[in-house]
Amino acid sequence: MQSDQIIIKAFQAGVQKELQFTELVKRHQQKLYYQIKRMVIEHADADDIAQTVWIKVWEKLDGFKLESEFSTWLFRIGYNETINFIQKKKKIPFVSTEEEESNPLKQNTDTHELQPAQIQIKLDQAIKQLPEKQRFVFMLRYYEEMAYEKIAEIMQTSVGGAKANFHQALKKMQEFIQID
Amino acid sequence: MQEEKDIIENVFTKASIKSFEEQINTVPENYFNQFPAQILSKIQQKKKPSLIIQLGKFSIAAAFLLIVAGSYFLATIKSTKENTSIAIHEIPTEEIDSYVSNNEWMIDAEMQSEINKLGLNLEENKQSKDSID
Repeated sequence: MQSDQIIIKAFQAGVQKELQFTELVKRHQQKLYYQIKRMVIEHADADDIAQTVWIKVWEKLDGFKLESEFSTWLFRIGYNETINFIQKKKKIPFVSTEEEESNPLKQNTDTHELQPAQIQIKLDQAIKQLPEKQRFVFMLRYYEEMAYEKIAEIMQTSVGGAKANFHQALKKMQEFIQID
Repeated sequence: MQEEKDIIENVFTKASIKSFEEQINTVPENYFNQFPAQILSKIQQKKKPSLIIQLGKFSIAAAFLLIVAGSYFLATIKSTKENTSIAIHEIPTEEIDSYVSNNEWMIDAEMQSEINKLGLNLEENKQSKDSID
């Protein structure tokens, strides 16, 4: 299997550009899509953002200098587009009043006594109440098991900054459980 | 890493975290199979400019050509006029003399007609003067 670098070099040399691009999409589409969806939850939104990201990749790949991994560069575009999307549409997912009223958590607040379904709802809410940056770091760290160095590169921040975001996310989620 | 995972799983249980991920992983059937082709077709569409844009570009090009052609036409007329007036000044005297001698009869005729006109005027003046007297 060819490395991403070889595929990108072939693309940049103009050798069967569409074929090279399709190969890159096939390799990385799932991880990118899931990371976006963890942020926006809805499939339609995640699909829109993913399409925008890949179109940008096509437009900018000729100028990509191969100084970082392709996946890091891809996730950075994904991160920027996701944050733009959330800020533009103010589409921070929320639980409607109706849902809250029928929410089993309202009847039972101690997590140790919660049923699995209730814990699930609690987790969803805890994740949704996190600020975007913290949510992004939390998802990459927990679900992708990504190193802080790579997370920092994607978010163009320091390793310390990425770590701080993750720990703040953890703290907020614990507090959310205790307060609710 | 494991320590961090343990903290999270302590708070929310492994099962609920897994369940959240399952919810995220749910996508429409064949979504990932169709996605690359879908993206490529969007890129192709972006490459092709719309008819309006094409027409727009065409009309801009046409207007530009018209302006260039018009300016060239006006400049040519102006320079021709300038060239003509210079040419008159530059005609040698010998040439003018030869033109005059060749067309002498015309000049004579013109002069004769001028004299006739003057004679008639003089006669009219004389008659009117006599009638007053």
